[in-house]
Amino acid sequence: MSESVRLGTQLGWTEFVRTCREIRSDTAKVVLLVGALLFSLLPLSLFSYVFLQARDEISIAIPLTPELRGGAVGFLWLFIAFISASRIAQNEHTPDHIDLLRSTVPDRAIVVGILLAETLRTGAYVAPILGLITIVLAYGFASPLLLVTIPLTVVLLFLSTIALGAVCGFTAALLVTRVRVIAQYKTILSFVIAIVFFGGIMLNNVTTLFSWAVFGQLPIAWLLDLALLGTPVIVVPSYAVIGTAVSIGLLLGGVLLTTRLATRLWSDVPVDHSKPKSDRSEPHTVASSPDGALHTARQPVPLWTDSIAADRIGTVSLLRIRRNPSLVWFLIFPLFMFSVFLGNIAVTTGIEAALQPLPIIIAIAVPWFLCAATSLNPFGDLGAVRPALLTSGIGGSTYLQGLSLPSRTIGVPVVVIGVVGSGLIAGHPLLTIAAIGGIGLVLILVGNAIAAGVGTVFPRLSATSIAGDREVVPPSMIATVVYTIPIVLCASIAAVTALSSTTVQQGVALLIGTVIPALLEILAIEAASIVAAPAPLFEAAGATITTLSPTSVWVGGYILPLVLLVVCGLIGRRIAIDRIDTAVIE
Amino acid sequence: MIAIETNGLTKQYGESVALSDLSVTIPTGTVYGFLGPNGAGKTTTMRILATLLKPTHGTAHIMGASIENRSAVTKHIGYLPETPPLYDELTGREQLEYIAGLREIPIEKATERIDRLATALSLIDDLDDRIASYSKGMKQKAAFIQAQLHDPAVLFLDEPTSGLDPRAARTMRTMIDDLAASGKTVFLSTHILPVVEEHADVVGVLNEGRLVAEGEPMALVQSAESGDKQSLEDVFLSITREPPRGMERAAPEPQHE
Repeated sequence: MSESVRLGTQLGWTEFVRTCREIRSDTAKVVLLVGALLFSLLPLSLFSYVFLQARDEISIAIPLTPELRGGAVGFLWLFIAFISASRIAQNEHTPDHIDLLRSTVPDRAIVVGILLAETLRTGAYVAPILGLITIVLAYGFASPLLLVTIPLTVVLLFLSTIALGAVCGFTAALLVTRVRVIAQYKTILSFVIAIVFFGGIMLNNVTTLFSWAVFGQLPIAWLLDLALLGTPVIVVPSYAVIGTAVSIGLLLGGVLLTTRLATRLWSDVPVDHSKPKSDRSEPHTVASSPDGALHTARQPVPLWTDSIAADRIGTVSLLRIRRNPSLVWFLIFPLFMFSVFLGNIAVTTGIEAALQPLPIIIAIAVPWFLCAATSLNPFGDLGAVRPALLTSGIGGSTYLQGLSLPSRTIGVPVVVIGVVGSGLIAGHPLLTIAAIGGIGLVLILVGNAIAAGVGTVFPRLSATSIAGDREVVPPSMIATVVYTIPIVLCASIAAVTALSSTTVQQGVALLIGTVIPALLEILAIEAASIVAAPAPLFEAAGATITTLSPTSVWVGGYILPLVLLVVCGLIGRRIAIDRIDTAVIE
Repeated sequence: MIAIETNGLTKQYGESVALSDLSVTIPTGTVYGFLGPNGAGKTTTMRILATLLKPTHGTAHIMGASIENRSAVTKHIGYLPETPPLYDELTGREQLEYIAGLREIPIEKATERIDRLATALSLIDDLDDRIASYSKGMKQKAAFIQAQLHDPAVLFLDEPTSGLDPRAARTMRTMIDDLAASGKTVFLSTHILPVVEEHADVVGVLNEGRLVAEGEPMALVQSAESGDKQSLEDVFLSITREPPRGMERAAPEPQHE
């Protein structure tokens, strides 16, 4: 065991260093991470300041209750275990060069390495926040013991959580390897599981189906008693001991069980979930089909184009996603967030209120998804086929046309039916429904061009960061963000105008005529009075906006954003065509 | 007629020289064996000639079309890179129809060619299986068929027999001979020297980005300085041997071959 721990520590540390280097090489990812960290640290710092100022005036000499333990640790423990299980099941169950590793070190060492790497990755994200909390509490309570107990608690929490996640994740990965049906529908199943888990959380938040006290009954939640030893909070020392013992037991048990699962997983030959030969129709009937095998495989989706090349590009794009849905897994999460958003509204205010924004969500989310699925990473999606495409003689224009075919064929009817249907059920006026439908159609028209333009400027060609699932090359994070901003921003403004132009008029007038001048006045007090000079101009502009005619509001709030989208599409199209036509393979 | 002509073709990555002043003239109907140790610049050369990489200096023409003009060159060439350019999610037949479609080949004509070439390479029975289930050799066969579906005048083949069993390798070599006999030009990069010795009309040896020898295989063997050279392999090892320790070397090529 000790040998496995020593070797596993080396492996885990190496994997962690690789992750850090991979993140460091992606400037956009670094900026997003630092931004997210600052977003968390700033309010936390403010809260810490307030806490330190008021610590003598507030009494926290209260006993820890099951609700507190459950809310602070028990639920968090389950949440991290779920995320960890998902990561391990999808990507992290088989390290790179597994054959080399297995012929060099014991399986148990590899498992320890995986768990340690996951723990370090998770720890790295929360370390600055944890550090701040630890220092503030230790200083605030004048208790150096907290410098030990809080980090120790977090380490035990993470290790035991990730060990449990590993057992679940490896079990799932093993099922995918062994059971044909699960292998075939793994993406859909993953989506359903995520919906059930997060939906359950949401439901519990709204209805308090389960009290937090339920999670507080988990012995692992008693780690909170360890963390708060040495503070005025009244803890139960025996709980701290039991919590520690349980977490260590979970870690050891998790390593042993995961090792058994991993050994089976790595030794198995995955089931072939494609149709068995014996089940197929006569192979050459496909060949002799007058329209060809690709045309037959694409059915029942039609693609309308005069260009054979564009037809083939559209067909292959469609087939690849249909046969390997994990190619669009990166787009599922935002859609899932939309679902949660709607579900939340439905649960809190009733189904009728949830239907109100549904036409808008369909008009924006469907084109956003379809266009990104085929066009957001054109070079990465080609993968090894890139040389064949570039030497085939087709131009960027044809390639872009081909990529646009599936989203137009599928998107137009879905948007029209979805928006009209949900709009009528929600009781929106026909003009509003038509206006929202128009937004969706414009997005379908320009979405592929915007996606391809952004995706060729910020391509992602390698899947090295997705260990164990190299066939998937998702778009770069920055491409996804840059693509999403104009689409969601412009389409949302247009949609809100379509729903209620008066609200938009009043909102913009308030922002320009009241909020901005007020901010300038505040700044003038803190800095120099010159800052307040433009304030009257903004106030006048705000007053003017309130007097605008409804037609002007529609032009500014609805037409203008759509024109901007079209301009973005034209620019994206030009960029994409140029980049594809002049692409080289370095 | 000249199939491939290069003049002073050079590719630099910063200070590193991947290819230096390459000038070759290859007539149509020639099998040109392109040899060189790992990192010599063979793949760089092929990518430049296939318009997939821009040279730093120099010019090249394929069937009279400048490599600056991709659309003019690509209709004349077929390219088989070292990694077979195939989608795992498609069947072999779908993949080949896809590439034929990109070349605007009508489906009837494409099907005829796919069936004929797949039969010749014993891939016909596996054409309706997913490429994900193919062995390395089967992928190589599919990629080889894909490269010549449009009947190109010039074929660039990077290690075409890699991963093939002896029977399939022999079939492919025979097909290369047949292509040359029918007037096609084959630019063949491989490490398997007996293949080049047996099938190439002309051999070019690239070392550290420079063309250090060129000629018919037999002539190269005969012109070797030492009388004990018996084969192309001996000549190759002699030409491309490591310089003595301390001697200057060109900067290494910044990519794998």
